[in-house]
Amino acid sequence: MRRKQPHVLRGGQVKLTVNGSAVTADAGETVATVLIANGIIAFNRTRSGEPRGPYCNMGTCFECQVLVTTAKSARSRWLRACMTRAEENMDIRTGTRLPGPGPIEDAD
Amino acid sequence: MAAADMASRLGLSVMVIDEQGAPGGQIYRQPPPEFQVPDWLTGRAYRQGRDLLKRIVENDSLRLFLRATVSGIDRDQGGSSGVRFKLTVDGPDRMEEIASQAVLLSPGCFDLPLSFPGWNLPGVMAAGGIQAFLKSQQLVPGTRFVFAGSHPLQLIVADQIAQAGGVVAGVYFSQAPLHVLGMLRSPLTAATNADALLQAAGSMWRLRRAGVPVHFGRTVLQADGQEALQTVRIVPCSASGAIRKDRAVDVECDRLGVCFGFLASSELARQSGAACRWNASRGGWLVRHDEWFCSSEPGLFVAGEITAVSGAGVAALEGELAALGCAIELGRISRDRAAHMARPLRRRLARLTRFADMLGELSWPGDHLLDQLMSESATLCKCEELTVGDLRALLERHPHVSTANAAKLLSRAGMGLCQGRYCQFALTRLISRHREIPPERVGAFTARFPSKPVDIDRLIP
Repeated sequence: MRRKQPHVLRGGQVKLTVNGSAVTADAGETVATVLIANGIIAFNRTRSGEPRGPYCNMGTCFECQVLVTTAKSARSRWLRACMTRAEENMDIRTGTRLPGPGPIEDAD
Repeated sequence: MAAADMASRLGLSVMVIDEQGAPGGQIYRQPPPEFQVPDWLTGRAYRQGRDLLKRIVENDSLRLFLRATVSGIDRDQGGSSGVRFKLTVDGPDRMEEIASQAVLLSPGCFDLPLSFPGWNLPGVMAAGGIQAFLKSQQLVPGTRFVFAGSHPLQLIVADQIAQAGGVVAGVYFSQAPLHVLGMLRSPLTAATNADALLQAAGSMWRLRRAGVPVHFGRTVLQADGQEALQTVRIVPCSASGAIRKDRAVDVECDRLGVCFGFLASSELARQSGAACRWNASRGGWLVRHDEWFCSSEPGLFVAGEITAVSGAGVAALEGELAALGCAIELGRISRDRAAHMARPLRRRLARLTRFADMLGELSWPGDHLLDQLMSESATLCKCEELTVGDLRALLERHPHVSTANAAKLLSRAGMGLCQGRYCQFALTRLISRHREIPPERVGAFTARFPSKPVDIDRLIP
């Protein structure tokens, strides 16, 4: 996992948190890129508890969803990590169980 | 892009709605505006597309509606002058309605999801997804990569990973090497599509020189790991697709790029009632069209992978022809003039289509191999967590069930977040082979609004 450095000029940086820890990302990176660059590949859990991570990286598979809280909105939203730009003061939660019908589980 | 460019030149008022944050689709997927990448897609094969992208961005009369997903297309019942369609669009901030006289769908394709045990483990990715991290985000998204499949794209992605400093532990093609030589069977077709062949050959040469093993007659059987991918099981397979489980080898890696071809994104067209046909090796459900790329629905045009997965060159030509078709339909150009302008486009299209047909045939893994990979424990519907075995048992229990929709209603397969995009292909094949009926009788899932999940507070403010 590494950001390509030679021949790539990057803009500013943004500061955000991943599961409560402070992380620095390059402006323009997606949430998926930030997570992978920080060694995380399991992004959420299915309703039965299986770990899942990004598959298509283009917004069709919905495997990369994470819980995101932004400075703009008070509540967290499930967003596709591959389609969401990392923003200043964003908080990202990984490993959360996806909501949906099925047997009711204890909250994590 | 080519359609918008042509339609704009023909004097039509054009809006391009794109889900990504910048135009270019997946082939010309751009880095974010904050990045400067001087060596972005410098290869010869990309030159035409880059020129087109520049024209699109610099064309002030084009309206680009980015980060916007078309959730639904309705016929306009209002009867206001000339307006025929009402598009409901999930924009960056809110739902919006767009009225238009004609709609041209060019939604592209996505990597064919193959059901084999472990394909849902974190670390198993579409080869195209890995490439998008490299191309757009300038990230090597793993440490040690394996690529397995039947489509030559994986050679190019593996090469790009190796050049960017990633370790490629192996590239595995299910076809026998002799089958690949079949590509040169028609020298004329090969020679007139030299760019694409040179790109693949160049990748092959660089990978070999870098010591990356490229194997033929080998396939992925399953992916294993605790919490994330750790090993990939590779087995030999014969030209007929028969696999040898006794000669399995486990290869350590943290990323697997799966590359067995592509599926067309035909859900919006199906939602609009456009007639489709099934072609497993060219994208699954494909939209039927006339010579001007109009679907069975008047005013609804199609171009690109949605007509048959054929690559960017074919898509661009179809887009230009479809734009001419729109202009005829809207009375902006005479049929004769359009036919005259279309002639050189059709000639180039015929040539590129021959190459695409050959590539499609060459890249198809074959039914026998797919059947064997889809073992009982393999996940079929990843969203609702159903296995191949679950669906086979359902077909046994319900002998009258023989359509995709019926299986969906009984099992929930296809009702999850991806809206059936990642199980429809496997389910259609499964029912078709189990019941010994053609896929056309299995039918497609009924495509409904919204085409992709929408937050409820956007629909009910």
